[in-house]
Amino acid sequence: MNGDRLARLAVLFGSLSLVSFGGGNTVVPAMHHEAVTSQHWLTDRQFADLFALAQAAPGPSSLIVALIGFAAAGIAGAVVATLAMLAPSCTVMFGTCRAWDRLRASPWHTAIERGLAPVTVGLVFATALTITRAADHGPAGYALTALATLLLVRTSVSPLIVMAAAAALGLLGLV
Amino acid sequence: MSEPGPRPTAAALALAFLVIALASFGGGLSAWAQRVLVEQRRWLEEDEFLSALTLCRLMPGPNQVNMAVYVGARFRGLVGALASVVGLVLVPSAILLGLGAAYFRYRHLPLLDAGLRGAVAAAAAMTLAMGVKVGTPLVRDRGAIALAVAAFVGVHVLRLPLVGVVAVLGPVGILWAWPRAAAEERS
Repeated sequence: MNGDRLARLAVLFGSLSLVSFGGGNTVVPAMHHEAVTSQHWLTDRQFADLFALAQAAPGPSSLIVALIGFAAAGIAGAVVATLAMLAPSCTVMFGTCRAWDRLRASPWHTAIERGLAPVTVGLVFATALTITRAADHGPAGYALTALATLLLVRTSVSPLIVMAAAAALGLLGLV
Repeated sequence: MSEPGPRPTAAALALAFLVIALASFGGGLSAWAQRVLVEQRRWLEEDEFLSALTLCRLMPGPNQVNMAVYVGARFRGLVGALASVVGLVLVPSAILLGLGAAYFRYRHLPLLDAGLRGAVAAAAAMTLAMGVKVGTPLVRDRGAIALAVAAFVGVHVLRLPLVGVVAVLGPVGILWAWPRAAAEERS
């Protein structure tokens, strides 16, 4: 029984790992389908809660796979799911880095790095606005994000202090 | 061109990615990566970090895990990549499993929820602030501004897929950067 589940976890996340172009969040609907609709490891509500938890907890949000694995088959399930999600994509990425490294001495390398940098800046702003919209649910939230951004850009205050202060405001029920 | 900084050890790589992971409660992982890898450790130049970030998003796999592979492989090959990925995911997955176990036992996490709402708002600010910081050097350069605005509009306003946007703007950016890259090569 448990062996079956572990094998299913390995196959599921091993294959999702290789198709998760654009980051782990693109395969969340497929995870939901398998974990909730097809296998009943989690309820809909539990999946939503665990997704929010993985987003907010330290580390990559893709570590939600550890929680799904845990729900399916305990600690062994968490380990199998995490390794299955990471190993295939990391292997592909490592091969890409090796190939990219071989170009290092070429002017192409410099041109690609310089040329992609401004494109990335635009993408970072797009991500930032998406995150802000998802994070803030009212004027207080937007004001806090704006104030924190100003502090982070204009002063050298540690972001950890800004985040701790923001979390404290949350605990006081002000955001 | 860019002078090679001191080459970090595998242990230093693991520690740096552990710091990035732990600091990113509420999100903002790539902003923390920029702060730690570029501003504090000075392992990567801004341009290299930014182009690597787009490479990491294009490749399959979680973006920041890919960044760990990139930085680890860059300085210490396979051992470095493994050390960086382990640094990034080991402790956070233990924390997450602890929180998850508490969730399954108590059904919900109200105190965490309230505190998180504030932390998440600040994490969004981290990413915005990173955009401002990495965007500021571009302001003098009209070509760079055009590329950044086009990427933003493509992904955020027109909702085009990331791969398509980069497939079009990437080559344009390379053409734009080519004359200077080639000139530096000759000098």
